[in-house]
Amino acid sequence: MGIELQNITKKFSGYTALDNISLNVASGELVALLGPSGCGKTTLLRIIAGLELPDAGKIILENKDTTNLPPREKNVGFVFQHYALFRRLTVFDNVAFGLKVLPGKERPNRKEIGDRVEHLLKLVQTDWANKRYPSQLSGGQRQRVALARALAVNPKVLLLDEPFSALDAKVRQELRRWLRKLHDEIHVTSIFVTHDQEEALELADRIVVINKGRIEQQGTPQEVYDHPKNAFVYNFLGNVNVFHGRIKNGKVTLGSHHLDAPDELKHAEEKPSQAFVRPHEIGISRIRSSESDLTGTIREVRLMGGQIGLNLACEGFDHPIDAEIPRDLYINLELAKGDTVFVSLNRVKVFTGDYVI
Amino acid sequence: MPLNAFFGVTAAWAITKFNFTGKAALKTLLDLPFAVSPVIAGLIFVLLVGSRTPFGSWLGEHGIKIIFSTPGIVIATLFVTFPFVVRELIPLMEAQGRDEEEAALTLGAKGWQIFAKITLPNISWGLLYGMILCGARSIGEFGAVSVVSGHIRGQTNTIPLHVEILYSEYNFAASFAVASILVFLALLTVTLKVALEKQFQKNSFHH
Repeated sequence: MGIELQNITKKFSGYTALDNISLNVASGELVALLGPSGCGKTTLLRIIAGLELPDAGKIILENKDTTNLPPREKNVGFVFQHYALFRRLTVFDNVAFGLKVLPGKERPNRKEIGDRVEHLLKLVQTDWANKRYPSQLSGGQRQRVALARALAVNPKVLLLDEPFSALDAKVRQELRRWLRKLHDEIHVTSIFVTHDQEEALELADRIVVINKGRIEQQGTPQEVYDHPKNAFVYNFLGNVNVFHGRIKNGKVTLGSHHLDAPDELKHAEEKPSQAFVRPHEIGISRIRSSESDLTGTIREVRLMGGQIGLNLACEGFDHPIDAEIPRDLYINLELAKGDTVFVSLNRVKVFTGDYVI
Repeated sequence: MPLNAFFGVTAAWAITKFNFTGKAALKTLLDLPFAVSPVIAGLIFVLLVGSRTPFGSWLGEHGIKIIFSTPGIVIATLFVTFPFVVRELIPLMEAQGRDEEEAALTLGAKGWQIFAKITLPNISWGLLYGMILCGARSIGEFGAVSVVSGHIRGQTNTIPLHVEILYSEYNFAASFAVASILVFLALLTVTLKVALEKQFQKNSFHH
């Protein structure tokens, strides 16, 4: 087992940042801690690294209790959101730092350090920059160097705190793919923190969704995305339309619209419920294809790259509905603002419970 | 100056890189020398360690003379110029944050290694700048020193004190001659300061 977290609790004056978190990460796994800002995910990462101490609970790294060890004895690599490169040192010296500060006996000789740094810089594709200073590099290059620096000490675990959030969209995506590839090559147990659901879905082997200091759900990206346990997870993993309705006799009532309740709620007593539909799971058509189709008027058309966003006012619904359709369909149907269309809600997800968006 | 650099760095390091109770109080205390008139500082100092006080007489018995001698001047100057280095360093270190130190920590560096290899190089320009200001102030310091030194010529006289003595003896030519040394030193300091500021900016542009 790579990392075992047992009942980690951390309180800051006035609020609980982490509430009894237990989590296992297998060796070689790449896990994403996903949650809104302030949910405690960064605190958890810092606790694993030893930069903060938990109020209660245990951290076990490769079967060794490291809860109270100082950071330097934990042997973890940490990559910071804002890179935290040493500004007075060259790229080479930045990467070599972790090796140079080793006590005399364990420290490799100059040549070995040189070789290792060269190797790492090649791995992160910045070997051309070894004499430069961090300020002379772009954000993406700096983060690569920071990664090489963290890997230099052969960490048991690599921790990344929102590693791409300070980069612009294009570089972020490129670096994300590159990191996935790198992880497949070197297989170091890694945990990264993010508030970007796309990043988590694309990059991670497993996603842990955290909210208000608690784990809401964990599983593979596919599991979490397709079978969200509750309204929070569903809402956090992508854009949604929310309908507030009631559940009664196996039917969910949304405005003047009725649909079949999901199996697990078929026999539920009458209570308020929330129904969710992702914008891209809404069908738009010029012809009515089923009884349950809604009639809607296009209020707004938004260009979103490959997709077209439609804002629809539907009969019987108080709030407008957002839909996303492929560009081709939009062109074929010759849609324009003010047109009346038929709207079908596919894959409606119904949750009861007190979580309110 | 070196002493002040040492204290300044220590205090700034403690204040910006660690959290502890009484931090705000310490920060306020650091500004005290700015708030208190140097003459008063000198007087308080005389009250504390003058030969008629218990502590002063105890020191006297052990053959340590502070008031009306060089150590007195040094300590009084130290007090008056203390905030220069600290005030220069705190904003700088606060702006730089703790990230780099934390990174070094996770890479296995020990406390003193982090300080020597990361913190100190990062603040070197600010430190030098603070030291120069501090030095300029020490050369020109009059109030506290005037009270503490006792104006013993050839022994406990500083340049500004000497100017004052010559001036009150109507020895204007000599007085202005000595004063011109101070002016020269002041110009030198300002030049150094400007040169450093340029360096400083050039360095911070990189970030």
